[in-house]
Amino acid sequence: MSVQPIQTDLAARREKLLAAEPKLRAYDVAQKLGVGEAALLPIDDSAVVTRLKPEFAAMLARFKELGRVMALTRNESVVHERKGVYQNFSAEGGHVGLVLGPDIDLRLFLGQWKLGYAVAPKDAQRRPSLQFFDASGDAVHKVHALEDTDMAVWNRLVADFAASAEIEAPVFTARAAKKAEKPDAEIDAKALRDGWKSLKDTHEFFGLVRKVGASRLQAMRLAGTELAQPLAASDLRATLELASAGGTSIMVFVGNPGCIQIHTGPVSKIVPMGTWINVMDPTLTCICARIASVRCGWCASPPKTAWSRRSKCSTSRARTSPCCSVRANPASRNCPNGVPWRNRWSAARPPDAMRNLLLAAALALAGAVPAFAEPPQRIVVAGNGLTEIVYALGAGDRVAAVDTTSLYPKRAQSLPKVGYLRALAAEGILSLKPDLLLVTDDAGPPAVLAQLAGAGLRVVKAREGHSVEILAERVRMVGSILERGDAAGDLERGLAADFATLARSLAASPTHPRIVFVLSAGGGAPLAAGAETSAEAMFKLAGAVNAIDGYKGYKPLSAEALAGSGATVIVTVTHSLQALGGEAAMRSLPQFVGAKNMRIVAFDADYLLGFGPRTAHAARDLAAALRPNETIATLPERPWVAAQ
Amino acid sequence: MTMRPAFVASAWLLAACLAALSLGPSRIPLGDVAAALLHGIGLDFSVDDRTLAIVASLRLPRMLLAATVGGMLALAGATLQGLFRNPLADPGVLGITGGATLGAVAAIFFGASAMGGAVLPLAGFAGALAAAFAVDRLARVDGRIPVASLLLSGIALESLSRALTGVLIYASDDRQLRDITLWLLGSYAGASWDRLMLIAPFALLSACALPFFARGLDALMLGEREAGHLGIPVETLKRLAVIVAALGVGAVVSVAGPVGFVGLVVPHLVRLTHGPGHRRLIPLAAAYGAALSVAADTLARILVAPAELPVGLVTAAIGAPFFAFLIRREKRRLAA
Repeated sequence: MSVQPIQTDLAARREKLLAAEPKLRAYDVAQKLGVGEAALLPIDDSAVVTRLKPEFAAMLARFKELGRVMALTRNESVVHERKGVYQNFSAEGGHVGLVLGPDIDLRLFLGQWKLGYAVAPKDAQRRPSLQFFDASGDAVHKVHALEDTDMAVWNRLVADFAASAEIEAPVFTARAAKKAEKPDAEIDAKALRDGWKSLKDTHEFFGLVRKVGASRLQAMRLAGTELAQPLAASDLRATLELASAGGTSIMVFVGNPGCIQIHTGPVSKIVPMGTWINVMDPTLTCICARIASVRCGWCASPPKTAWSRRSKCSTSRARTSPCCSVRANPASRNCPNGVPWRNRWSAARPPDAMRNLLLAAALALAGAVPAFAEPPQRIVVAGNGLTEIVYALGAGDRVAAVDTTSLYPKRAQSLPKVGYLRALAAEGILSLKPDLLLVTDDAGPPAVLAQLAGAGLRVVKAREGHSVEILAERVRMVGSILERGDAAGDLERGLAADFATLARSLAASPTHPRIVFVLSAGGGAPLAAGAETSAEAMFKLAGAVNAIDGYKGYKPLSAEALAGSGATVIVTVTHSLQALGGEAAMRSLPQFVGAKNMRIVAFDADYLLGFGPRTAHAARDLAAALRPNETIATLPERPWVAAQ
Repeated sequence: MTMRPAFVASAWLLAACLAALSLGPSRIPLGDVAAALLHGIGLDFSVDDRTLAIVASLRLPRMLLAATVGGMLALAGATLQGLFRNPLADPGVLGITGGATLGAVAAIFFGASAMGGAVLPLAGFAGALAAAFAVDRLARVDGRIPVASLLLSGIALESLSRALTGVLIYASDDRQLRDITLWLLGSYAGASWDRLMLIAPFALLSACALPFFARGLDALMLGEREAGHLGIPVETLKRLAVIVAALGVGAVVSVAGPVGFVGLVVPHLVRLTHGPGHRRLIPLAAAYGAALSVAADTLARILVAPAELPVGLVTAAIGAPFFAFLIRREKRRLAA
């Protein structure tokens, strides 16, 4: 009975969590409590929970009698719900099962299925479900009853498969740790590339990856951009929207170790909602992707045979041009199963998990991210951090133009300017004849980016944000696109080392100064940085606290707010200080009446706020400037920090 | 209307349109423009993909949008100046521009940039309609709408919209602020066939209806009572003219932003050169408004290439000096 106290404890913790966040989904409740979902079912007193016999294949074979139900498969990042009938079930050797209905299309790895429960909520408003779990208690698949489900059959099925009372209580194993990736150097990249080029079917890809001993993400990375191009996480949404706009039939695979659920058909309505992006089609399907947890995507080239099938399908374009529009090829709507060109997505928490989301899109989508044989030679970059990365990777001579925020390195300033990041001009950019537009994902306007992509320009978006992780992700992505993988590896390792050195040095520091960041635009009233600004992110890296956290973004600074902030240092940028006429002039402004005892420190704006290759050094310099009486470790000279 | 002024106006418009299709950051010879257009309608003309994309997908919808917006603003301006018998009237005085601006800024504030598609123009249009409705309600006295009351109500609504827009601007973050500022300057950069289709019905309706008010507006120059004696249904005329102008202006402003000065300056230009008769003034104003707007957008694309100026800046840069000139001239005429 030693288990009992733990269970009581879990029940109490669950109740407390649900009281605080009543709308939490079962998955998230389990995540927050650090257990598998299955462990929570028996203590759920809002439902009658019946344990089922582990005869899953026999049970699945009878699901078709239920009529219309909703099938649900999910993982950490994506949830897929699809309504329909479980038709054409078959299981080979009891381990791999198939459901091949027009609506419900599943690949089942029954070896992973360990536990089944029938859940009948006491609240009549909520519908009953059948839930299946793996050894760690994570859900692999769920079946929900619908209004038109035959409940008599449902109840009979539950009765037939109900486990006897003697069945032993489930023991949950820890989640299997992901196998660590082998170092890149130990993978035979040439064998991988050659094997990839001679693939005849997409299914052979898994065998190939296993043979060379790479993880799938690693395979994408090592295959080179001829075979796999990295995409920004934001491209998932762009891809779905493109498919939606074109009425294109696509395939979306959502999987976990026990089940892969497949959507084939158009995706009508794309609805972003907070951190999620949802595909809503109330009669059929609902796919919800948690964008924040999607870390990277790849556009992978299809096997050879698919190519030849494609060229057969396509009507007018030559083989060198893989872009086809929907209009040029009506076949893509009619034969969703003969998908000729697959645009495959891998969303994963790097560097280990890989399986989360696979999305195969039909031919028309290929137009959005076509295969490129050559690394880009004429690049237009928008976003100061990105520009710095491109130069730091030694690809500055390939930059054709930059936006007005790109002021560093100096060389970039002499290039043509395509305007402000959020007001790009379609025609102006096309007139430069670029082969790549590299932007942060807050660049715009969206209509202009759509025009550019429509005109055949390759548009790659990097995730926007002020964090060390996003910086590393950007470095990797730019390196891969420009085929400067080695330089990107050096830069990424250098940055990681420098940030670690700084963090170690700051851990020893006793002071955490409260500071205010002040910006003066065009001589107007000074603005102070609030929460979620790049300035605040830099403060954190420098071991300091933003004294102004009552609002987001920049707002005019009031004398009272400054005096009451408890700040000891005011940080500003040099051009603001110059615009105001120097430190004395700044202090004489009425907003700074209460700031007599605060020190003023000024940095170059791009250096401090750019979130590019120089950010580790900028954070170190800021940390040192905030602590004049302490010694903060100096960082090594780096080529990307030296003046260029 | 004799044929000559109509011919001249059409020639200017045509020239502006041809320049817009041919000129830009990359210059495309007129022969290639023609080939791209003919290829676009399905004829067998060879043209490279880039030229085709620039002419057919970028410049053509943009030129049509610029012409529609410019023509519509000038048309509405001419009508409202006649209606109010006030040369300072422009689409702004009805509160329509302010309403559309408030709608669009609210959409940006609540995240329309992320939603994409037609959310922003629809919000702008809703704002314009709400403003027109409110002005109508506010201005009505015993079932009639005195012109003075209409003008004052419009100004009140415009101020209110501006105040609310200011509140939203204050509460916006940096990114929204940049988006709002750029929207307020007006731009045709988002032109696409979809957007054109969105506004075409309203603009067409207004363009077809407004010239029919010409006789009534001519009579109104004599004064409301006099117009009534001449058999003009003055109240109906005012009502219809305001509704039609509101629909048209609301539609174009919601798509292109408040492009300044076209609605104010172009009718004056035409009045100075062709006289105040509305039967001539209204169609000519539309043609010259379209031409000015298309020409200004061409300049906006070229001047700082490969970047782009907001078109509102260019029209204002042309419009403001002209307006000053106009005032001076009026002064002299008054003194004489």
